[in-house]
Amino acid sequence: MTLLMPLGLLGLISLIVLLIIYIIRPNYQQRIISSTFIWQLSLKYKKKRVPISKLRNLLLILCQILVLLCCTAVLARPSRELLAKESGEEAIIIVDCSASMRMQSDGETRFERALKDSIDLANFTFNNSGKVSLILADEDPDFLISRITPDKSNEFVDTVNGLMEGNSACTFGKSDIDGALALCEDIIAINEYANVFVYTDNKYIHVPEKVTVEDVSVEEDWNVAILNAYTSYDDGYYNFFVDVACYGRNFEDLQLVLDVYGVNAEADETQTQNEVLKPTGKLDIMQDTVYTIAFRHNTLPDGQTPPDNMIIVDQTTQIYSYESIHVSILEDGSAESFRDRLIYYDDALYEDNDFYIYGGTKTPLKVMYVSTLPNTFVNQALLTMKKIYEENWDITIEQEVFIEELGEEISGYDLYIFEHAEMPTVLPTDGVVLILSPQGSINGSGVNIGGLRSIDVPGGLSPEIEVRHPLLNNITPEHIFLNAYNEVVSYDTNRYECILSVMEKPLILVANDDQMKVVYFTFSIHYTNFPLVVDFPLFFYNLFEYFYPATVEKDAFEVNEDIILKSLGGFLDIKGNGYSQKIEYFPATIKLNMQGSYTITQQTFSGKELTNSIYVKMPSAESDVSPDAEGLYNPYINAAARDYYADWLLYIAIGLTVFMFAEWLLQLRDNM
Amino acid sequence: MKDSLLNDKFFSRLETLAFNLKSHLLGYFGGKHLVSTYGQTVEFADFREYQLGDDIRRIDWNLFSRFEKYFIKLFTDERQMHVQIFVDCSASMGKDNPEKAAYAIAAAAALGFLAVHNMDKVSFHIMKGNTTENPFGTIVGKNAFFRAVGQLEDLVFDGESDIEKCITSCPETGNNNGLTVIISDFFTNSDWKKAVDYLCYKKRQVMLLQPLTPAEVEPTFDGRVNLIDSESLDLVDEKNMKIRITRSAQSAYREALKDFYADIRTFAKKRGVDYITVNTEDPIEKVLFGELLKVGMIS
Repeated sequence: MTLLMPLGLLGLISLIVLLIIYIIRPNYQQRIISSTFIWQLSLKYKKKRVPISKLRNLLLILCQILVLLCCTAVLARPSRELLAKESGEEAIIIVDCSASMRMQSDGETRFERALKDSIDLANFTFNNSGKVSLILADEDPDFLISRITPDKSNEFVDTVNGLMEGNSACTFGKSDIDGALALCEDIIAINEYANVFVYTDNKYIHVPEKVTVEDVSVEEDWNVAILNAYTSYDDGYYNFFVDVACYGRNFEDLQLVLDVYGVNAEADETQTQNEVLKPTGKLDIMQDTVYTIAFRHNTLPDGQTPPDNMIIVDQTTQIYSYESIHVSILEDGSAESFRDRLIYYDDALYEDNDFYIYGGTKTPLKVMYVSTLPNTFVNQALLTMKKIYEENWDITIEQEVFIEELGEEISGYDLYIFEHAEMPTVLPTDGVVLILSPQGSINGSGVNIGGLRSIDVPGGLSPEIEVRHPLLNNITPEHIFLNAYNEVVSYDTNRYECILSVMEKPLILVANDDQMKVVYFTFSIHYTNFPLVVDFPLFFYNLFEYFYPATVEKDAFEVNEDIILKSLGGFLDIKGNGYSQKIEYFPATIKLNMQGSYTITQQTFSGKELTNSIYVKMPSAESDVSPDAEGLYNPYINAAARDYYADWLLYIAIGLTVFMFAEWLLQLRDNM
Repeated sequence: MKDSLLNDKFFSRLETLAFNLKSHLLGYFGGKHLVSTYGQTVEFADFREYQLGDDIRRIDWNLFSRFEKYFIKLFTDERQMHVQIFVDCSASMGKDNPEKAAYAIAAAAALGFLAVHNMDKVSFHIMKGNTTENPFGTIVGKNAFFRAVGQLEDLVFDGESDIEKCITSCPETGNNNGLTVIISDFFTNSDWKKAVDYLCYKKRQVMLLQPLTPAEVEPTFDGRVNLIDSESLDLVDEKNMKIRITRSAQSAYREALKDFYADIRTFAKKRGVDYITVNTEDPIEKVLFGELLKVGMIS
């Protein structure tokens, strides 16, 4: 315990004052009254004062003393030491681990250079009997070595040499230098003389005092990079866009090549065709400028001009599907075959010299619509879905009037729609089944349908939502009115969930398990305005979103970006670049920290195997050879504001309150 | 005080009142109090059969002609009473409480005025120590009364007074001839009840008037107090007492005072004595027009 204000102990004088008050205070005050006759009589009425009164007086004095002691303690501020201050030489080394530190010149990466310099600095500090700490600044910086003394200098050297092997510690993502500086606050709070050294290639405009930035970049470094590549689906065919830039120098005669695999391949085609797309002329790009090379199969609309720094290349082959696209750049374009093409040429960072585009192959999705009275509302909703999901799904719609033509057991479709009396004898299990307007029970469906029931309300009744189900997203029940419905006598409550009802009778039942995926409309859409309102296509949209979610939202992600995975089956596997993981709970969020292509494989509930590929790229800013940055966080400001002591004022205040309350209580009892 | 209480306005209000004394008293000839005995007034009271010795002039001959028996007419009697007012002049009645003393004197004066106004005799007995003084003698008539009242205001309240000895040793207490008023706070160890018994034995109507100050009814002081009795001789007198006045002590005081009242009231009720206790904070009119009317002493 430490007294922050020892002079506050002078408050103990108040005890003497209290003592004096007790000594000099008049015991009895004289008061002349006409007669003490009644007072004398009153003595026999007065309650006997038990000896506890003396104890009470003692407690009263004790409380008063304790109150004064508490007040004295408040003045003296007794505290507990949280941090012991130190002095002496100390170095905190922060090494930037961002992808740009992978840039190399003369066979040495910036990261290796930083680590070697840090060893020199550490040795210098150890020679002056100082302490050294090492922080690796990746996206989640942490101490690798914390405050080691000269006797452990070998530990430092061994650790740093271990980091240099294969550049494994240098990431493909960004670095959080400010976060690393914030970590230094703990050390600076202890030793305000500690100096911070940041080994990075960033060019900071403002560097705080006592923070030294060691630039490990080389002035002659240059880097040409593919920053991003993406497609757009336009008029049924793909256009391709590639963002390229060259940092550190101008680049003349840049050869950009798109190797397109599996061009316009059909689903059952084994031999696929490949195409090579490249600009016809020379591409000269100025340094530090991002250019977009657009490979278009069509011209821009009349009156529309391309944005600045966009170079449009006419694409002679119209591509409506592809398996993957390998985007690469060449300095001289000498290689003829993309298979033999070398992309490792003399720039500082080779990892950003190629790129992969995926997502060009649409998964087929077959829809069977069986109805004795096919209606335009269902057809129109299906066509709308086909348009909406044209980039993800190749939706084919087949329509049958009589179910007999399909055989007893129907299979081979992803979505079955049965309407009116044409119901199968056995429900298909290899796809989602949507049952509209049933006129009787279906074997094995688990739903027992009764007769038609009319609703004797003029204009009909609106249904009520029983469960907030994803199938009802954005659907307003008040828009829908029913005049009649088929009464459900019973249904398998373990399998089905009632999501919509009218008059407490089920209207829509949903089953979604490993054996059965059924959406059961117990009412005929002819007795309702449902097909006429906007909620009908919305329901189909929800149906596709719920049963056929996209596995990933896009085909290219940055390193360490959140990737949300959804599955059409029970699990999926993601593999690539030494990474392998099986995911069973969805939606799942993962982060990938290695650049490259990854394959996501899953088996749908109908037994089909689906494969998606994604590409994980470095952040675009990491391709810059000398990135500018605003300023660095100053760890010395917050460190100085740290609390070195934790005072006990709270406890004293509690004590003071208790003692004052006790004193008041005793006084009260004393006066009674 | 003279201006506030014993003035013309005060006495003029009393002129409408009269003592309502008990009828068994004999009193003296010539007053205004109706008594139970038959007298010589003109107001018919009753008939009675003639007895030897009766004045034959009072025989009712009309009755004789009807019954052939001698009956005589009886008339009511009105007597003069002697009102004796004993004032406790001990220190507790006014040494340090001028209001209480003034109240006692005003009450005595008012009762005296009522007596003389109703053609009664009145005498003021000042109780001091073990004896009583009658400085004004027996007062008859308003002129003598107002002369006495002028000196009554100069009474000095000091020392102790033993009510028992004062009254029992008083030679002029009379016998069955009027009202005795004792004005005292009765804060005394003297056995004043014997004095009351003595007066009852002498067949006098007795009234006890107890004026108390607000501080005596509801003491407000608290803490450690050395209570000095105004009748004490010095600081070490045993009448003085050191006490720590807390809420419980105040409660005990109130309880003791309540029992003290009850004791006097019970005692008075058993002996047909009127007992009035008044707070000096209340106006004197409240005593005269309120309390005395309530007990039926005046009408």
